[in-house]
Amino acid sequence: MQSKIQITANMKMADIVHMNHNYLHVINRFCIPLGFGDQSIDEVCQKAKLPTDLFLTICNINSLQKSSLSDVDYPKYAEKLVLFLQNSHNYYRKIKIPEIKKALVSLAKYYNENTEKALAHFFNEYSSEVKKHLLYEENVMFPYILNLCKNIKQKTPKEQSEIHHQNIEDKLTDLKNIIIKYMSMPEHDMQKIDLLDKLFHFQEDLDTHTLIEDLILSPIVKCLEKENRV
Amino acid sequence: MIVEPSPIVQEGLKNIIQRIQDFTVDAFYFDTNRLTEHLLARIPDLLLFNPCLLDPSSRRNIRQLYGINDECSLVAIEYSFVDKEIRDQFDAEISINDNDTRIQNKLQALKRNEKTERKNESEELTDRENEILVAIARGLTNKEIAEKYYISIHTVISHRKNIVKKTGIKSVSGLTVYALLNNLISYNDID
Repeated sequence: MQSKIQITANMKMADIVHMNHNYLHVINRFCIPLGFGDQSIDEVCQKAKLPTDLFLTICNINSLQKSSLSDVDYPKYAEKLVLFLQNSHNYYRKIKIPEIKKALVSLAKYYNENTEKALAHFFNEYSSEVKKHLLYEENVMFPYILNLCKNIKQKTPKEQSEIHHQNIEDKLTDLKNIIIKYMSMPEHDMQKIDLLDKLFHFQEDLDTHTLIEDLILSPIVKCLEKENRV
Repeated sequence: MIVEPSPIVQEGLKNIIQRIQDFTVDAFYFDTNRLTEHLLARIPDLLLFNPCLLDPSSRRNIRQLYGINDECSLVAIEYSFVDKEIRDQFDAEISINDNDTRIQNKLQALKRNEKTERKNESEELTDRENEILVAIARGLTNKEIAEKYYISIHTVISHRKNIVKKTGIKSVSGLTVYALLNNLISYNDID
């Protein structure tokens, strides 16, 4: 999801994956199956009944740092965007967090029992904070947004404190620093670097996720709220 | 490195600087042509630069313009009026009226500054900070730590800030891992 070149509707879907393989996650999270042959982005999106400009604005969010959607069509995007975010959550929960945990546990085994326990405790605390945050969005925010689209009367949910978001980010940075700056045993550096790779990738993914929520989702919600006069 | 269009001034400056202990002039230019390239090859500790060489229409940041990083101190060579906006971008100024002692004092002050800054960055945790770190890892609150060591809560917070800054670790559970990795505590000490 990080590329300086802007993605446009008539580019071939297969080409943009070769340009930046992170777009695979965008494709997957919109439930677009692979095997799109030589079709353009526009053709693939139309077949998947996905607004092409929504797909493009997510691909380009890192380079443009703004949404290029027009507010007239906001309700049209909301449902697909929630699907995208929900699938991102699934990926974090089912793939990313267990993968990082596994790598950390097998690295921690080389250190004394105390350190091993403390690392396990640290990561459990971190992953439960992340999961709590994901659940809040899934149980409170997503249903709220989907109901807004259907014009169902409801109360505005309470905002979850932003400190929570910051905590999650801080802990990930803490873990990176612990590995980079303080873990001895150079004989296990390959494993450490492999874990760091995963952590940096996860961090980038989360950063983009936050960007999408702030720059694309939040204006959509505000606009829908205005229409419904919540 | 000196960048000064007047050969007389440049020669004079070179003479004065070469006489100061631990200072050498290893590059000098009359204009800014290819300055970026020269700086790319080697960044000097000090860059003496005449601001009259800047294009007055472009009020850009000198450091950005030539790719000068923070490790290099910028010194202005002034013999005419220099706009405040430009002057503020320099770490020090040498005036055409300065005698050699003044020039020497200014340059040496810059060098000392630079050294202390670097020293501060690499500092390890002090004994007191290690004690506080252990207390944090054991799960003590700021208030409990303040009572234990007879210091104010304000002091505890300032120690915590320094610990976070030096270790790069913000969370309590992360600091616990740090303390264990450095054998400051054992796991049984933790609540």
